[in-house]
Amino acid sequence: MEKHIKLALAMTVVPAILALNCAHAFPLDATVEFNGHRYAKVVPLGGATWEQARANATGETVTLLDGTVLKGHLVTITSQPEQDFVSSTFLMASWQQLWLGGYQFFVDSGSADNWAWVTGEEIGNISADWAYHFLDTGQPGDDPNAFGNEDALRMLINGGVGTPPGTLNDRWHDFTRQDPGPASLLAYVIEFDDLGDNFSSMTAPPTVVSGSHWRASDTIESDWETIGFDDSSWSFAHAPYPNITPVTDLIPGTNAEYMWYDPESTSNGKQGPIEAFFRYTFNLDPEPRNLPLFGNVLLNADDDLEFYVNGQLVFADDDGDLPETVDLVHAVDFSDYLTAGINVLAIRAVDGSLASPRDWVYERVLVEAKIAIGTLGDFNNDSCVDRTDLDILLARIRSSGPHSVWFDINEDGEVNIADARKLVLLFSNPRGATCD
Amino acid sequence: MKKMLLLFALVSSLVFATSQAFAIMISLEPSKPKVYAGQNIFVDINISGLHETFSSGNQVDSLLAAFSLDFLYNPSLLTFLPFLSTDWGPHLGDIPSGEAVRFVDEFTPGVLSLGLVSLLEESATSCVDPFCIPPYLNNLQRVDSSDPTSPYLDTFRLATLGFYAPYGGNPGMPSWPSTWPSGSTVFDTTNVVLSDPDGFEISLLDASGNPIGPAPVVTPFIAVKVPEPATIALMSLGLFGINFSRKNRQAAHRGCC
Repeated sequence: MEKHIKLALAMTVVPAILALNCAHAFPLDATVEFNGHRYAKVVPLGGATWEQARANATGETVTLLDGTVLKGHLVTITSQPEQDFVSSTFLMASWQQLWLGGYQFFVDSGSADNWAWVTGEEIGNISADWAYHFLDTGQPGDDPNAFGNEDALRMLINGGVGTPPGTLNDRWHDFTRQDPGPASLLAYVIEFDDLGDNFSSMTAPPTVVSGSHWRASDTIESDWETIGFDDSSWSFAHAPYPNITPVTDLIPGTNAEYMWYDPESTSNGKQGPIEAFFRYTFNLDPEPRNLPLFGNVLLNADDDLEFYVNGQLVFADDDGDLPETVDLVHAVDFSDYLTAGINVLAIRAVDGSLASPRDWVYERVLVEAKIAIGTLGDFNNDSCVDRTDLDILLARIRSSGPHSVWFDINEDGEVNIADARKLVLLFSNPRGATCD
Repeated sequence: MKKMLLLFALVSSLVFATSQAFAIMISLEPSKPKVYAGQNIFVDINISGLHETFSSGNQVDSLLAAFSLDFLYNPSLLTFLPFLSTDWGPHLGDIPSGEAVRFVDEFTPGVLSLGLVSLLEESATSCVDPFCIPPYLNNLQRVDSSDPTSPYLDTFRLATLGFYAPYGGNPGMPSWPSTWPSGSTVFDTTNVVLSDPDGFEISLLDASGNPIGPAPVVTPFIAVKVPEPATIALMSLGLFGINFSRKNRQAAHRGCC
């Protein structure tokens, strides 16, 4: 233990220059070995966001005496011995904190859902699916703060100044990635091994399906379909909601469930409210921010529905309660409505018809949306940047409407002919030939 | 009087152009100063000043790899002819050969939105295989395109646009001509966007060569006259008279022999 403390004390003076993001050889004698891996603590001057710490860690390598090169990444802790090692070696004082390599790759209704290590060693619900975690009580808490959702892990000594060392708590808490402080207490640990950083910049859910994780209400409210609306007072949708038609009859192979507003779960699928409103909030975090976004959804309602994305009406199924149309599944492309950051899918569903809401046999909503973050310049998502993509961009430049950020390829804040030229530099083949 | 006005417009354009000599300039060059009803007129759109050093030490020094602009004309006097507007300057690549892509739109009468994107690489030294296929922009925009050390062109043509001055009625019909177009049309450009080979708007550089903002672009407008009806009417009457007298003489010859 004393040896570890001495090493850690020595390593806290290793300066970090956050701006450096290129591959860099870390001095071997500034690392400490545990179970075949090497570890080093970095104290960033002025604090660091999780993204900065991750980028710096990823940019480091260490070369062993036999010439083996190990790749750096933010530390991942997969066992109690490793937890004890990191804690005893690198945590020094009350309230000192270490960024860990755990992050929430998709923010949805569950604060424990969709966590992963940057290495990919664990993925899923951090409480239920991870083989090992060392979360503090009430964590991950997604506590309100000035920086947004809490979506990255820190290990911290949860005790005030003067707290006896034997009573210190070194468990994990979730923090917001953009939170760079407290500067005097925050550090991060780089782990060197052969895993490297496999951080996925795609924090989108690959599939969004209807289910009990959607928020639901039976009362229309002002701006209910917009991003800024606070749906925290809404209950969760009742799903699976009873219906005689199997969901796979409508969408083969889907994991989606019928849903409706039924907080008491008392309906037999026929006596719910005539109108129901649903919201699903998720985060898209493309890196860089101007990557194209794609969204396609399969929708069905008994009977009619309106589908909104980020406050804009994308599609209305208003064919009423006719038996020959009630099982129609509508395919809708909503790519143009997606944006980097927080997105909201919102559905107004009506029993009977939009024109004449009434209680009519069954009520239900079924949704399966596929969302993807594409490659820069590949606007048709065919894994090839070619003349077709240039034609798509030129058509946007020639139109006078507002342009999505993903057409701003040169990231100068405008979409114009310079972006078209930038796209030429991204061609997969000379002169924009197709990728056959 | 109208000739004097036209001359004034042309002279004022030149004065304006001279005062903006140290900036990128889009110049417009009509094929003729007057166009009569029934005739075509062509307008060259040229660019200069892509390699200029200002007295302040600032400079513009860039190859052109793409451009877009709005071209303004009077649609009551001229009709745009897309099929006579395919001859665009070769300095960004040959369009039929797939070296460049262009577009021309006229969403608003009198406003042509046009643009061109070169698909060529900047130079043989900056490209990476398999993209190193000549010609290169660095050659095409030089005085001698076969010599990469020759000076850059001071001015080169971006595009040529063709227009037609229509009659005010249906030729050959009894009512023709119901009206005669006349007056002056001003050619001008606006919303000019120029891109360098790296896909960034061409910037003004400081003395050290660092971008310090968009390079200024000016376009001296130019006017073209469509003569007033009396001129054409008198000319038509004269032609009719000549033709009539010729037929009379021919008839007299036949009668006498």
